[in-house]
Amino acid sequence: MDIILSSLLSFLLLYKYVGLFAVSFLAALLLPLPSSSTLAAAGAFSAQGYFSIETVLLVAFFGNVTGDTAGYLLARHYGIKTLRNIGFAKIIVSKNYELCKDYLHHFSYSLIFFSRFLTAIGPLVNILAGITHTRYRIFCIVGILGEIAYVLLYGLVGYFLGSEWENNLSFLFEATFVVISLGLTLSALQYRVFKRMKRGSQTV
Amino acid sequence: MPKKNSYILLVVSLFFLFLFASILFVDNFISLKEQKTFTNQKQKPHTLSVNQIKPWMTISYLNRTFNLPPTYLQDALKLDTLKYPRLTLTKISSQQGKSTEEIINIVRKSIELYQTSQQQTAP
Repeated sequence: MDIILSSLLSFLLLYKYVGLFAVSFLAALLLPLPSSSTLAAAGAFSAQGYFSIETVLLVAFFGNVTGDTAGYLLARHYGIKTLRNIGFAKIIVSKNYELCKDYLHHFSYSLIFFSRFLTAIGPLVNILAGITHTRYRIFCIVGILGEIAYVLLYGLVGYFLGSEWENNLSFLFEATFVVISLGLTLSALQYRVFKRMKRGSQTV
Repeated sequence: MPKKNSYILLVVSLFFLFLFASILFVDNFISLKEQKTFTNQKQKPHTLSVNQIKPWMTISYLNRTFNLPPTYLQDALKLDTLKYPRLTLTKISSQQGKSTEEIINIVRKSIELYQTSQQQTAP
């Protein structure tokens, strides 16, 4: 087990629900922390009576949702300004940026939903959604649904694996692999629909 | 290759990737179920064995998981810090200048001793 995860597990045992909230929030906001394994561990600790599973699921859910929302709002308000300040002004006026913006306006659902399962990609999608001004209501609803599925998957698998969770992390990664491959398939299909839509609007 | 064909190839490949992942997942799930790794929490809550003790674990966690008296490990490890029991085994090993393996061995032996004494006193 790597040093980061070991430190996070100690942090989780020391600060309990506050620790779980902090890890979930920071991982959803920007930091590349192994929050999925931490959540599975919290589920396993619940099975041993050290945590309550209901509270673990709720705390992880709120931590993730607030982290996502904070990332989205920060990017929405300061994203473009920051990109300009750090010398990426050309990106904002590029054709690809407009295409990306257009795509997210029409088909952000699957991207937001499935990226919840990839803790490294999720924060980037939040920032992208914020910068491109994806509708807040859509971001919230789809994000919340994604987080519910994510928290239930990792928290409950950890809970039912109990003290065997460490030896069966591959099982969790396989579950994520299923969700991600489904997400990629749907995104590829959506992209085709998007292209057709664009072509249709250009001919009109 | 025409663009349309490469797109169909991509979608089909992704779909097969999804099928492959699902088969892998279901297969692992069935084998875990057969090994009875998943526990029905109402019937038998999952307990930790002494061999699963790790350096990142805290004393309060060990006390709770192994149902130890609050000061049992404090006496076993000869700890006189105010932070007890909010201490990890790594922290204790660095404070006492011992290796984590040594500390884990002391903890393991103490817990086994406690469990044996509890079994003997049980009717």
